[in-house]
Amino acid sequence: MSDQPGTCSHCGKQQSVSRIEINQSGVVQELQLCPSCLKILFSDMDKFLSPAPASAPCPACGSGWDEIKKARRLGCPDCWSHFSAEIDALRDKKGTQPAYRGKVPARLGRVGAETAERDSLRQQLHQAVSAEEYEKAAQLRDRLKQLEGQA
Amino acid sequence: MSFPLKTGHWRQEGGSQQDVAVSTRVRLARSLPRLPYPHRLTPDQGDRLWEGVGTALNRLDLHGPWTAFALPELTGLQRRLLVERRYLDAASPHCRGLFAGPGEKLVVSVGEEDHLRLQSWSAGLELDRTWRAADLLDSALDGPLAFAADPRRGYLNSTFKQSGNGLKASVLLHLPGADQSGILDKVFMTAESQGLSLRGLWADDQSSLGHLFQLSSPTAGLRSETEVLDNLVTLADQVITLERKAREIFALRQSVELKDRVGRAQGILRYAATLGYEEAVRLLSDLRFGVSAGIISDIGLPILDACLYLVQRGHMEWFSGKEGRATDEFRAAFVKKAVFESSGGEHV
Repeated sequence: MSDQPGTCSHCGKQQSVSRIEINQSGVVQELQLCPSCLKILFSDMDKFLSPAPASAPCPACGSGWDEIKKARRLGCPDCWSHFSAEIDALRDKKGTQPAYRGKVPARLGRVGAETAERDSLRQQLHQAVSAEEYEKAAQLRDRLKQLEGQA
Repeated sequence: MSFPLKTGHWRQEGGSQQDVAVSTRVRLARSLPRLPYPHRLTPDQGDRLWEGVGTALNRLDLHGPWTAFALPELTGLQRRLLVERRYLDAASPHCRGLFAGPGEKLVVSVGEEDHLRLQSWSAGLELDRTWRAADLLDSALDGPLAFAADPRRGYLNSTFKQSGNGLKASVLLHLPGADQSGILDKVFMTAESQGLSLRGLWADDQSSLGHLFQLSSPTAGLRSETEVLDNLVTLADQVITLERKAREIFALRQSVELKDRVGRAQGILRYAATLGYEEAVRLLSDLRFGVSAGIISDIGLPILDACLYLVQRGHMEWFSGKEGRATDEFRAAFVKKAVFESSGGEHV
């Protein structure tokens, strides 16, 4: 965010004071906002997001995004990659999603249970340090070291 | 077609904390790539899915032999047995059937909401063991079937809700103490605050026939299996401790009432000439309480747990050989024989 001269790109009336870039699933949108519109942006981001373009149906099964969104059910596993951006946008609406920490097949790389446990320990360690629970943090750190030693 | 109802069943293997924990189930939802999800499958694709899963299972070195229960080949009653055993959801219109491993410890249903549902069952509270069995089968099946998955999203199933780890774990608990002392509300609230659910086994709400309740993890999600299972086992342990305390207080303050109830249950189950379903479940539950409280010593918990589901209508019809005509008279004779006249649960 940096100061820029010009009128607000949202209300078109007042002097803009900030330039903001919104990266919506790879589509970058630039906004120049006045202080009051900037305030609205932080309270209701949706007003500033441009609707995502309608995607073509899934080439593998023919399911359309509207149909999937309505039924909350995909047509086939290929829908996941074909509608990846739409799925991410839908998820982002619910707030920041944590990273996936569960099992994946061994053939996709070693992101198995141990990695997941390490991630979880790191997160717990961070929380313990923030909460100044140093005894717990020390235990978590030792367990983490032990796991990292095995890897 | 044979329908195995014999020894070697998971219910007879025993498990920990069985005075309160009846059974443990771990379920993994998995899907195959390049195949529409069950609600969009053509009959041909459905046949291919069914055959592919059967072939893959039978080629595994471990776990077999598998018994196939193809729904189109089963009678209405046979389907009902699978639903009563909770291996199939009654409402899954696209389901092709299921494969059951030895002792029904592992069950793979095909074409419910997702292509596969791997289920692992144990008696008692055995989350670790039950999870490991499911995990092992999952990894073994991934060889031939190469499940649809993505390092960022996890397993790609038909709904957002079922994707990610695809895991759902649950423990069936017998809670006569907590239920009757009114402290169950607290347990419901604790479970909910931790994202877990506690539901009556039969009633699907906060009341349950026979004081049987199912404590479940959230459906799938992005968390690691270890986190999910740790969370569930921690709460299950807390509920079990609470239940034991409630039972102790009950036994201390109302010892005559407890003995009377257990005695009456025993008397009716042994001598009644007819037995309705709900009555049977209530009495078996009282008897179970009596056995775990040490009031009765010559009856084992496994046979009572087996009877608790065997007294359902479908199983009674199956055992009596009279489809659509199982009677309360048959149920009374069946329970009497199973609980008081046989040494083990051969009918499990």
